[in-house]
Amino acid sequence: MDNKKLYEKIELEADETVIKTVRKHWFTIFVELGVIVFFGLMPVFAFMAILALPADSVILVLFQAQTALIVFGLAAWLLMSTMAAATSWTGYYLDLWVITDRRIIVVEQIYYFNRKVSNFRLERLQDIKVTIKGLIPTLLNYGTIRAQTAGANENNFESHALPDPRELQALIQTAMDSRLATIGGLPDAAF
Amino acid sequence: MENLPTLNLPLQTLAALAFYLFAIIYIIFTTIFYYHWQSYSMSKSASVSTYIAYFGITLTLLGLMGLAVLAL
Repeated sequence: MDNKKLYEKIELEADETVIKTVRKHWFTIFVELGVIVFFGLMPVFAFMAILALPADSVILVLFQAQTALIVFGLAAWLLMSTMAAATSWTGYYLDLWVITDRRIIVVEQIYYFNRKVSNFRLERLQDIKVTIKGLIPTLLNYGTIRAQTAGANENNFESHALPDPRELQALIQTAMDSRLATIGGLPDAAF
Repeated sequence: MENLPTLNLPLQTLAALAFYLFAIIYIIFTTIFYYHWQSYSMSKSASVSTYIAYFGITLTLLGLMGLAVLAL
């Protein structure tokens, strides 16, 4: 993570320190890109199978007569697949958790045109719940973190597929305790 | 039914129109994509790697499509 660029994008308070930045687990983007690559390459494999047909095959003769058109269609399909992959990658990479010594900044990027940046002050956090559900999340150690904050309004937040959620929970808990110790022990002391 | 007008376009014209349509969609999509990475990315090296991969693949494919249209 380029910290200089991070500070430019997220306005940190004076003396605020970034403890950790977290993205979703690599498996989520691996699955998304895997599906896109599979469907993207499917016509390529189909054409390769057709090319393997006997030389006098009707389909092969037809395909050889329209090579330029097939190349055009194939390239168009691959271009669309690449654009889909770029969209998935953007959603994955720009989605971020920044844990500082004062707050948690949750950046949610849902593809394009849907971006939400939320701040949760550590002293107002009340409960952090970790859920690891299913075989793959258990094996690869990723899960959901759900946190509840104190406030007049309903102010909960949750993120799915975060790597090593228990460690993250412990880290937030430690940062929360340090913050409470710094401001005098009472959550309301900061306000 | 017999009196309905019919539109007969040669394959090359249709392919050229499809190519222009793809090019327009690509330009719009790329502008949105580039804007997001320029505005929100927090790592310069990740942005540069993404641009290289994206433009490397897509411009090659777009070029291939253009050549295929010319070859029709």
